[in-house]
Amino acid sequence: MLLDVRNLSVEYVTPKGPAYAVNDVSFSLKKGGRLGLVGESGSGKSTTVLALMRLLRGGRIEADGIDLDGRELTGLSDPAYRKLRFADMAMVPQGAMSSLNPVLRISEQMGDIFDDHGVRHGRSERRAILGDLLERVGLSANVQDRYPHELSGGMKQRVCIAMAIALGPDLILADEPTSALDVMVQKQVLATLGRVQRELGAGILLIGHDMALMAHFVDDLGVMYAGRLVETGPVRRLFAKPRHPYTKMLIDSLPSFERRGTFKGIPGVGPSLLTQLEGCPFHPRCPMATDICRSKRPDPRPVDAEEPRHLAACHLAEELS
Amino acid sequence: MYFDYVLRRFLVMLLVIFLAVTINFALPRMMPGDPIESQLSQLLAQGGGSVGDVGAMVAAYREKFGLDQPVLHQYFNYWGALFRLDLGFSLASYPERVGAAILAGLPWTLGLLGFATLVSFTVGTLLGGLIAWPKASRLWRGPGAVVLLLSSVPYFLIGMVLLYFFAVVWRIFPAGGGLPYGTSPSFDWATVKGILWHGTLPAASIILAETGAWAVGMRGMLVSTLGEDHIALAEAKGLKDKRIFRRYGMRSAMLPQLTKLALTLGHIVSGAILVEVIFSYPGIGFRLYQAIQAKDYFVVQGIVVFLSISLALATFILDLIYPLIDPRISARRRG
Repeated sequence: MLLDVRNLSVEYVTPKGPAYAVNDVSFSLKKGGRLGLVGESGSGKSTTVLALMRLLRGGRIEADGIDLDGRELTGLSDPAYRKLRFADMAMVPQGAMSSLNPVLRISEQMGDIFDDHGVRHGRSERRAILGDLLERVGLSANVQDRYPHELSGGMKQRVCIAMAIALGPDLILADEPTSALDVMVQKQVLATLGRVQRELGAGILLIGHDMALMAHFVDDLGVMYAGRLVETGPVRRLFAKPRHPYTKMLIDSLPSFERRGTFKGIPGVGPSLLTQLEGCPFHPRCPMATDICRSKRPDPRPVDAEEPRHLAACHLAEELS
Repeated sequence: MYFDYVLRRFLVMLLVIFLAVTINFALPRMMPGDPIESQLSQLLAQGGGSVGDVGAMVAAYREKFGLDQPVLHQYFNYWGALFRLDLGFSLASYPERVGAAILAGLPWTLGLLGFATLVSFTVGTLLGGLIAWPKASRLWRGPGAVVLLLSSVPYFLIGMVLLYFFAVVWRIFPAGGGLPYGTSPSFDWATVKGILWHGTLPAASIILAETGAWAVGMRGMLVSTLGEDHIALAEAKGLKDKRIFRRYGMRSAMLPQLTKLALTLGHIVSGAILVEVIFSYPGIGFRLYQAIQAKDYFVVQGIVVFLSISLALATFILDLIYPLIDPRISARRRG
């Protein structure tokens, strides 16, 4: 197993009391595997990724265990964590347009990664290595002499991908890497990300809110709601037989050629993170909710006889068709 | 591309200088009254006694200063003189030339304000950065708070307080002047010591007052820079804190500070008139103050032209180095 996260929680201290951004999230990812996390804004997807990188500002992280390549990360010191970033666990950021420093050349921003992880190169060797990285993500080698403002959004995001693979990490965390790009470029960039990930043999955790884009990319999918993982499983199983009403409603809200008519949305809004709702966090919006949903919180459990990895946190999973 | 940009900036500078000189030429001539007549009538009122033919004297002086010629002619003469670096005579202390008066004051002002500005810029920028950087030692907040507090006190007030305690009560430093009374500058140790001795209080009052302003500016810029996505990615890359602070934080946040520095340096010639007045410091500011009091139009005019040109030059130099520190500038001009 490449990554094994057990009961990860993130709590923010706010003037109105603690805000629970992520609650008891557990998932795992095998070597070279692709896991996607979807959910609406505020569902805790990005917070989960930032917690794994230990880059949260102000949030308190609690976990029974975060295991990366057989190494337990929860007790790791901050300096050790710094060395781990990008070397073992890299990140492709969300805002490609603003993630590069405007006054530094691409070569400087990529070179820093090597310098601060103790990798030394001669001048021409460094140029060759950076050029090679850029070519691997479909850019020309001399992009390294450019400044960010001279590149398009798609090119910037490719630079970010090139940076993420610079040190050959085992795990790439991609936080909505394409949401700032237009649809055509989205697909190309995602394809590039997939290709380099495969070449590298790294596992990837992809965050997104676009179920359709996700379905084409990942092996496994996790659906988050109100800081909780409500359903996980192989993406095909999940799409064919969703076992959580929220997942089902998400899939039903996708446009399709077969179904015509008005789009079905999900009525209501997500709950406030400041209060821990009693029972299932989805029950106020759930059309199937019963008494037990309002009183007892469901834990993720196997819901598919043919697929033991398919878990859903719903009392009524079996009744869903 | 860079040449185009430089040429454009250069033309802008010439335009600014042209306008400044023209306005400076026109303004005094648009004022009611006649400088020669008022100067003469003042002399006559003071001297009383033998009153000759005032009209003839005025005409004689007009001719001498070229004021009897048509305005356009005067204007071209003015430019011609300016190109020969001739700013005319001082009215109050004739036959001293205006150029000589400026040159005599310039080194004092440049030395005092150049030093004080660079020190307060360096200390203030660094301190402001360290206050804003969450991973810096909290010990910096002490001096940080002190300079922030002092920055809200006007520098001439600080100057007067310093003057009172250090020159009047404790008598550690001299109360005024640029050199010990009765000495003239020469290249020896005594002169250097005298200059430092007399410069300490004026410099200290400027530094104490200005450091806070630099620190406030830097803190604000760095706080907003640190909130940007590229800082988050720099952290995610596993870069060392020092590098994130210097290269990703300070370097980006510095740009407005550098603009301010260049503008301030352009202004230093006129920057601290009040400090120079309080300490009777023999710089340009003090001379300008004296000239205004004496209604010495030519000196005032000369100093103003000199200040405008030095400011235009400073801005031009800043424009030249700006593309080197912020690559986005030249590109924007190109488009």
